[in-house]
Amino acid sequence: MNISRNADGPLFRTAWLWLILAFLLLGVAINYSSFRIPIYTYRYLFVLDITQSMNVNDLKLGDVAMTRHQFAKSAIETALRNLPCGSEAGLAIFTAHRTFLMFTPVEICEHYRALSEMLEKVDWRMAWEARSEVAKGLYSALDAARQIEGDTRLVFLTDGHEAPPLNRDIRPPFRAEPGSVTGFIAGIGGTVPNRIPHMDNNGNVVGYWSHEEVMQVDIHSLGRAATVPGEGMDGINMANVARRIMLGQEHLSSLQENHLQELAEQTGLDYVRVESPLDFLETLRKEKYARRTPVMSDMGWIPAMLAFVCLSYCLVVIPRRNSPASANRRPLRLEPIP
Amino acid sequence: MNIAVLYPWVLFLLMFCAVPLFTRDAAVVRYSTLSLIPDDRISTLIAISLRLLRCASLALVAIGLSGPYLPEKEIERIGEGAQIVLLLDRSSSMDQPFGGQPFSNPLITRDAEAKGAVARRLLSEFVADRRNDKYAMLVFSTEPIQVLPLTDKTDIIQAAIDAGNIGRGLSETDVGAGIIDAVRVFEGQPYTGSRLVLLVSDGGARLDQVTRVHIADMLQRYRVALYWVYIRSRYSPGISTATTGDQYDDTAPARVLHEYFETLETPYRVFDAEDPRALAAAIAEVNQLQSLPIRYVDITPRKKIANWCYAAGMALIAMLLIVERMEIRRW
Repeated sequence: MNISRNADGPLFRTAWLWLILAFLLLGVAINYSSFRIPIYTYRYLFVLDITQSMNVNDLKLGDVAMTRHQFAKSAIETALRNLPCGSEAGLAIFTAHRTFLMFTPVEICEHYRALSEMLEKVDWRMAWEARSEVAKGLYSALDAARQIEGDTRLVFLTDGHEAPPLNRDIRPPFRAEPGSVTGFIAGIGGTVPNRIPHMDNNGNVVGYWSHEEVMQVDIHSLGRAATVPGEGMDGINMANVARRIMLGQEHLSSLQENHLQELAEQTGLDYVRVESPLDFLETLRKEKYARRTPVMSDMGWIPAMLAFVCLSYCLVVIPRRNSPASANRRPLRLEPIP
Repeated sequence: MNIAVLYPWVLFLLMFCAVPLFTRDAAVVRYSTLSLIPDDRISTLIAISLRLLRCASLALVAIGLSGPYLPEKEIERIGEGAQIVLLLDRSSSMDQPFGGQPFSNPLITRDAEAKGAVARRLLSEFVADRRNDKYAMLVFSTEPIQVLPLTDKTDIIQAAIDAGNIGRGLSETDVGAGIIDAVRVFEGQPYTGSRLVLLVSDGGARLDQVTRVHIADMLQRYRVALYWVYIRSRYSPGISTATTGDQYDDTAPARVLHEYFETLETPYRVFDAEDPRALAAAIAEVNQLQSLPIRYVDITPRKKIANWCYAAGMALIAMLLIVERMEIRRW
């Protein structure tokens, strides 16, 4: 009988080869649909300053004016929404002279609801004392981060406003090793000194801290509380205390960048000023804070896509190529059978 | 049954899947004249089904690529479980040694287990044993601090209990404010099952009349039971020791508080942390409390079904392979 053409053609045009390939690739796809690959995740302890200076309303998010406290919370909220699953976050609050840990880090995607609900509830009303000793608070935050297992990074969100103020010469001693905890201090607040509001229990502003209500100089400068009041302390410059008190601006608050930078240098942390929540997120995503953890992910789509290509080559391209010219284009010419 | 896809744009590939409908069925075999071949219905059927088979195999892979899944479903179930607010004392006295352990020298407190550690261990075991419940957590000293909203994720509850091991306690003990804030957690929550405030504290407090009335009122309004796990300090009498006279106010403030709690009309129990059976008793008591079945929403997670598509695609490809091998290319 008349053989029209070489039926098998070149090897890559044989349909069964591509079919087998597609078959195998689909098998691989099923196999790799849950595949552990290492990605960057993060483990952070967020420490929120809840002292009253954080209630200063001097920041803007878009067009909405908000307090430093609200701004800090929305920054953390953005982080919780955008950090990759598998990352972990813990929450602590800072007031008076110490950090109070609320919970150790937990996975953020599974616990997103509880985390954001809790974050929403954090406010200045939780403060058990109205002092703001940022340096000591930071040190205790470092202690907490060190004690939590699993290499936790510290993020300390504060405006750096010390109340009562620090003495230039006598700073609270930092006893731990600098750099033993990595992380950063997030500076939050405007640079222009602003009045600190008094708030009632419902969060309404009922007044502002006045010059007389706050300590304008550090306790060392006020002298020893001894039988002779105001007795000078050794090595403390007590000159012009009255004048310094009169000129004090401690009832106003602004972001104390210099102070925070000094603290960062002392403790081996970084200092970052937070301009917007996205800014904050970008800092959080830095590779130096990341760790590599295997996370289940679906890699099946790659072999499946290849299978689709093989299959369509086999089912769409090959039949067109293999069909003889006569069958497609040339008009049918009948030949008498010899 | 709804099926949703992750990447709907991939479904454009489905248009491409129709192409095999219009290609030829098999290899071209030259034959003298087609009119010699009779019209065979079965052959036509086979031809059509072959084309459909090709389309289907392509389409299945394309659908699999678009990431199909069965969406998560919320199923309301009725089961056992309570809403429990853990109210943990974080006053600095909780850092002192626990009374229920032997000691030789009363001045040495270094190696003794702190009351707070005992409390956290008990809580942690309690939560581990009753996984179906919903928990919220508050700690209190001078001010109550809510550390967790009502949640059923046990990991975060354990994380909150864990957090107490880091850092020292705060200052005073204000039990009254703590209980009131703990009951407030139920404010605005639907009543879906028994409610309980589990107070873990070492201290008594003499509450003033206003606070007493307020607490009783709150407990009643939100229908909350109060359980107190009492953590005894060194040298302080146990809670259930018989009262010896009426002069015990100063020596045993815990007993004053206990007596007040007993006057509550809402359910109240006290457990002594010293008694190793106390925890089991507490857990069992919570079971007793559940006169009302709890209604909760169970979410079955979304389920990816791409693999089913791929597997079906493999089956079709296998059939295509068989057909391919059966094909006659020449004669």
